[in-house]
Amino acid sequence: MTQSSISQLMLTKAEKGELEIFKDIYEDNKKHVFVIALSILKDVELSEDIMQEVFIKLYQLLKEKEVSNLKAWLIRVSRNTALDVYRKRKHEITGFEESYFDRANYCTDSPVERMVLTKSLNTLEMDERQIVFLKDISGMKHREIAKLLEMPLGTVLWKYRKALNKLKNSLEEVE
Amino acid sequence: MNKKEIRNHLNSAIEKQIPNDWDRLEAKLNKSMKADQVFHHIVHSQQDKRKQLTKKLSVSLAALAVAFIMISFTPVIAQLQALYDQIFTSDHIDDPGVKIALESGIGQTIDQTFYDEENDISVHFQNIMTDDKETKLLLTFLSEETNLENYYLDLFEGSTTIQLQTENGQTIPLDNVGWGSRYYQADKNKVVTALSFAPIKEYIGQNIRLEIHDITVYNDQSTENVEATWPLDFTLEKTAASDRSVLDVDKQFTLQGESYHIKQVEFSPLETRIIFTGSDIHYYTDESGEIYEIFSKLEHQFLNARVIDKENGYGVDYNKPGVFLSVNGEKVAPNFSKGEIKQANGTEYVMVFAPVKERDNLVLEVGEGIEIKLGE
Repeated sequence: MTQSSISQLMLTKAEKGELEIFKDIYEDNKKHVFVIALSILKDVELSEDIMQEVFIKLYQLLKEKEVSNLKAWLIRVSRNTALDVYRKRKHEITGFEESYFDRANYCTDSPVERMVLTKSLNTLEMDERQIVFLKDISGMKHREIAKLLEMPLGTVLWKYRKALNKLKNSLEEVE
Repeated sequence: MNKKEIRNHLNSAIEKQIPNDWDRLEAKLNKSMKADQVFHHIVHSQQDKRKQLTKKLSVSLAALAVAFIMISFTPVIAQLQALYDQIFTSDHIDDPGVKIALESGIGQTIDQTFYDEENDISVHFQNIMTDDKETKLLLTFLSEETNLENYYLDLFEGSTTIQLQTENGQTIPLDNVGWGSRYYQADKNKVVTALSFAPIKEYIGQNIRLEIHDITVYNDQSTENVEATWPLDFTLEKTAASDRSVLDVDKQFTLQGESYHIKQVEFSPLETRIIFTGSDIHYYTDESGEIYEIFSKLEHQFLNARVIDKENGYGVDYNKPGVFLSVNGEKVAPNFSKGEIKQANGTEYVMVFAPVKERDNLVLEVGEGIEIKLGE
């Protein structure tokens, strides 16, 4: 959600209900929240819960103060919330294994898309997946990702290239 | 399957995976809060933001006016300054080297306009300056029809490239140096940008052609490439070129358990560079043999004083412990738009500051308590 689009929402106040305005914010930004949560948790249901939690936080925050860069705020808070859940779950489950997070219920009918998504969830490391998802799905710049993940830009570029190569190789093995 | 296809399939798969869970959220919101308060705060936040922006612009304009009066004018400098957009010397351009160079009358005035009919963009090339390590090309572009808010000439990670054609027809791609600076003037739908790329000093006296290819468009959720070719034909004059001199330093210090060596300081009218080696300044190799890098503790310390302004790019907080260069006790602006420059196969880290005139009484302040005299 850009500032200009928030302004547009303001202009439509007369025609729209106020909760409907928040719904527009939700619709415009839910992708960013879901993507970062999925990249960390690899679990659709948990990612949905993160979406609910983050948008409730946003709603509460907007009652108190301004959010100057909504997308950046949402991505940062979503990441922190998802990492909290990840750490908690990992701690709670004795003998934690990565496969715990592999119970995704796929919505796409395309076998190719399903395979690419599965490989991205199962083949990539968590930080690689965050970088690929943030870059290619959320449209963030490498330098923004570097700041968010607190990594040097060069490392983000390297991990991005490495992740795509890894994904490409794993898909070629299937083909 | 190539990488582009992989990215497209992944994007499409995830798009379909995103739940439409508004009803559940709405029920929760209705249960716990009053919706009308949200709108109230959105409206007020926007109003406050506009007030802050107006206040900020007033302060910036006042500061600009004071700075303008304080500059010691020579007729030549005054003439040069009349030919470039004054916004290049404002806080909107986060490369302090550009501001100081322009205020010192450095560079060759170009003043050429090119109209990109296909994209309805009018490009104004204003100034070029080059030395042994980089070239800065200052240009603006505006449009009546095309919204340029998200249009970038991103040589670093975007699809934009720049190339040089020499008199004998040779074409040379020019790599970026740092990230460059960019500002969007919403009221004029105009982009002001200072590109930073490889030096072209060796072509002085030649009729050369610089060609910028393609515009990178950073939309909220995607990146696009807009095809464009913006040519600039001109004779590169001596006035565009500056010299760079080197001061050998050879000083050691320790920061957070890592040892560093200040090798040299490079002086140019475009920037001041300090070259370091150190126990944690090198490339690393992963298990698959790929090379990567991490921030050294020194680089972390340098970035500690960096602040990021959404509108103006990188700035500095002089009250936070960072790494500062001072001349006669006055701190020199760090140039954060030229981050992460490494050379000598990754074993040298380059820290960039604004250009300095005095070269004798230089002190490097590292964190809290470390001061190293760099000059004679």
